[in-house]
Amino acid sequence: MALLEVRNVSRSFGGVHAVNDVSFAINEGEIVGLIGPNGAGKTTVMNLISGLITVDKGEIFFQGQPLSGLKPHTIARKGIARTFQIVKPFQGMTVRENVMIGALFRADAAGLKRTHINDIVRETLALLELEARADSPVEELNLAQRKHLELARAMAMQPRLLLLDEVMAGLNLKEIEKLMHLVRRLNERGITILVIEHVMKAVMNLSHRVLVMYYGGLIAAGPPEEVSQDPRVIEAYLGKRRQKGPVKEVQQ
Amino acid sequence: MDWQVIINGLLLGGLYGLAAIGFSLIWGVMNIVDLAQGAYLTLGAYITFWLFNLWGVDPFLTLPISALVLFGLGYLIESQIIKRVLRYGLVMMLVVTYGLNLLLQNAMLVAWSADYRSVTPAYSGAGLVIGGASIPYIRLALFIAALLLVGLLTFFLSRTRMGNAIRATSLNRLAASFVGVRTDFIYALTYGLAAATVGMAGSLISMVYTVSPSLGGTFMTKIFVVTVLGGFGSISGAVVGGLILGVTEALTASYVAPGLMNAVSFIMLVLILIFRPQGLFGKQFYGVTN
Repeated sequence: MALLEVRNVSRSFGGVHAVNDVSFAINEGEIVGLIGPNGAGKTTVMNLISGLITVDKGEIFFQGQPLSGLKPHTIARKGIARTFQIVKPFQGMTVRENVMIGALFRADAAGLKRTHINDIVRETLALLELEARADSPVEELNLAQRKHLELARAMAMQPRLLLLDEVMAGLNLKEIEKLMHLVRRLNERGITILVIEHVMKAVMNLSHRVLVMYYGGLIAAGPPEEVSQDPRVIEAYLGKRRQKGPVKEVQQ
Repeated sequence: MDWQVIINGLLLGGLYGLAAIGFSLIWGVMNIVDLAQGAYLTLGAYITFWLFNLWGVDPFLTLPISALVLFGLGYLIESQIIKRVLRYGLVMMLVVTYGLNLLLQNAMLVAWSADYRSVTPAYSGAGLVIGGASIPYIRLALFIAALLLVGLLTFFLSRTRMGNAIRATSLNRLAASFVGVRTDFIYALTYGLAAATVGMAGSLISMVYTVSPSLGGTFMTKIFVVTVLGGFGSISGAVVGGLILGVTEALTASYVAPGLMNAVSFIMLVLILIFRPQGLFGKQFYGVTN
């Protein structure tokens, strides 16, 4: 059984079909990349899965159970954690406190002792290489560290499925390498990952499978090397072969 | 300078601080200016008055009862009324909480009349004298009780699971919901907690002020000044703001004119708003807009 199954899901905003009859499944242990040009509906898919917005049509199943109608916090406690494209730390708290909030509200948190929570926090900080900044206020972190913090807060919830929305955006090459290494390490710990990414090098390297969205629909799915050769994908990204003749200048 | 005046001001200021905390907390977490706080304060005062008057319960022992009743009322009001209008924005919330205030105030007027009543336990007259300044026991006890409650609330917010959830929700509601915090429950909890705090302040205040349905209105203006002084959303700021207002009022009453007490407070309010809108004490912690 697939860990996550998206079945014929649609969602419109006014007249815009942001997501149109999309179906896919993610198996336990996979890293799946979700790519597509800007406005293709990738983040909407992620918002639908995490419950931020509701589906118009179709159904999403997690571990065989439907998610429709559930609030974000319930979905989070079922084991789906996410990060945001634009990082959303709790500003005003320290790094450690941010991660602690994740640990305090995971599904089994009510039964955990304080010392156990502290252990989870310490371990997560170590995993994401944030120990040195543990007691700094979030405001002192640079962007790469903030992205690590997003991941740490999500990881402290001990999720089964992790949704990563453009974690690499805005990072330099070295930081991207490091983050890719970390994402692999999280996956090796048994966490299934769905990643939206514009940094092709990262998504092609990380993903076992890639899904391609274009204008709200799913146009291709498969192993990265196959998908990158798919003519429909190339067309979606680069457009059709240009017509002969000089390029018309854009009129202001 | 007369120490007696300063001491009187400080002792009163502790109560102002406690009264303002609920207002500040609600603003910090929910971004609501809650005009119904005055009515909750009055209700707390009446609870103490009736328990003392009818059954002779010691006023200090009525604190937990005030807290429980007002927590329940606050929780109910948030989850049944405020929750439904929250998304319509600040102006709508002003109208709704103003309406709630009128409703509660007039209900108390109908039920208990406009008579001035007072709570006078046997120990209300006694006091101790230090270096020429006399300190009434009851005022000292109120001050200590107010500070203890502030300490308790601070501990709750920083050390407990629910307290952390409140802080997280105030800093970023969306992110909090995605780490498993039930944010609509947290809103109701916060509102209940704020009502309980201001209700306990009302209970304490009933021992030194006369109780009537208009008690809350008088204090609402003070709550505003204290919150602006200390910075919206800051608990320690509310306490310091309360102390400053208390001392300012005491000094104005004894060296300028008792009638100008409110005038001076409001001049201070306007000056702070012009020159230091974030309050006297640095940046705000809560109420960072998302």
